Amino acid sequence: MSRSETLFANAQKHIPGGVNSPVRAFKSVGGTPLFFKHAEGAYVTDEDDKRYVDYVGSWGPMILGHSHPDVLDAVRQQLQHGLSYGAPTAMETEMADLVCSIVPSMEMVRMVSSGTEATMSAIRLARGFTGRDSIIKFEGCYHGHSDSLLVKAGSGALTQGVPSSAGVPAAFAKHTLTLPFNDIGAVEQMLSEVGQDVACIIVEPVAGNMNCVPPARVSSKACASSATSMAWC
Amino acid sequence: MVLIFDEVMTGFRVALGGAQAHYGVTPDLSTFGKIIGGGMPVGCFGGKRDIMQHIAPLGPVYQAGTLSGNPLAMAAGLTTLRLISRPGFHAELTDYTTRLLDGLQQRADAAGIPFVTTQAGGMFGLYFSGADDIVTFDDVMGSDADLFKRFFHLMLEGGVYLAPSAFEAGFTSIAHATPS
Repeated sequence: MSRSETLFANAQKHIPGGVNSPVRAFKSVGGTPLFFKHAEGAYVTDEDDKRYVDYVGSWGPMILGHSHPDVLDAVRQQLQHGLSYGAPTAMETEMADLVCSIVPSMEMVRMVSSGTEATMSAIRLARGFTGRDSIIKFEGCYHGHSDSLLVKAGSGALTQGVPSSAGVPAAFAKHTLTLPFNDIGAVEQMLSEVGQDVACIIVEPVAGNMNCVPPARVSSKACASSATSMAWC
Repeated sequence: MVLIFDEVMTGFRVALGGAQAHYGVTPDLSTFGKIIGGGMPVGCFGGKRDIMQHIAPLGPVYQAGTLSGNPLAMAAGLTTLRLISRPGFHAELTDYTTRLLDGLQQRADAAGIPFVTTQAGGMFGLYFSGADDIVTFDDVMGSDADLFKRFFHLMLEGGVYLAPSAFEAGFTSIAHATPS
């Protein structure tokens, strides 16, 4: 038995499915998930000391490769000053300024602890701002696991073959209107019917949770011509 | 109505300015995650000032977090964003990813296996499919997940770790592009 097999067996005693996020369980490819203990550059090393070229990159964050020395140094330096204060820090302003300079559409930003929190909060804000309840999302797009967004979602939900989660009240889900991805006509039709009830359209501009589906050329053109307002698809 | 781009995956990856820079579309609000934390748990949302001013404590839309803006996470995220802001970073990452996909395509073609790839900068998709292109959800679902399963395990044996699902994107890093 490999160490990963032993660790996976042990993990299942107190962790549902042995994992803290469903896709890690290898359900859709079969076999035993690898347990990792080290990562550096383009490589990850498993508990059995086998090294792999890593094309998961922790599902996106590790764009510099793993264990970049400058990133680790920055964390080490901060480490000497404490882990969390629950009060403002200078670094948060540096971060806000940097994000707004890199992404011009960002005039103000709020930091949170996960992508799920970010989308959940952005939708609450869109609803609060417009005074409307309905949202439009696209089939196979995944925006984290808050209730309204687990309707025809992608990612782990799709991997499980259950695009919509149990435990989401129908009363919540009814405000989530789901349309096919890359279909501008469906967006225009929906908006012509119920546009006045729609708080927001949320979209992954490149759908990355049903594999990787870039926007269709015709659609991105249509969106560019409609500038900031009407439709993505 | 508010247009929200969920750039949790695409942000700082398909281009420094994300998909909105790459495709030239300006959303009202955007969400980010992943790269912005450099490997620490971080997300972020933001956009137009007149909308964002509705968030507490300025406005009536409540939102809060004990660990929001956590200093260790900010240190990792800021350093990551600064490093990827250097000129040429995303072009190198994109070029590497294209070479990777071209190589896979050539080998699949040579072996007579129906295979399609998709790419947006430093993220990619692999499909065992006879389709000309992957555009819709049905195109995705039409790919051969059993073949992917075999491919995944053969690659794993060969020392390559791909996403353990036929429905997840792949991600490259600059360390792949410039091996030591």
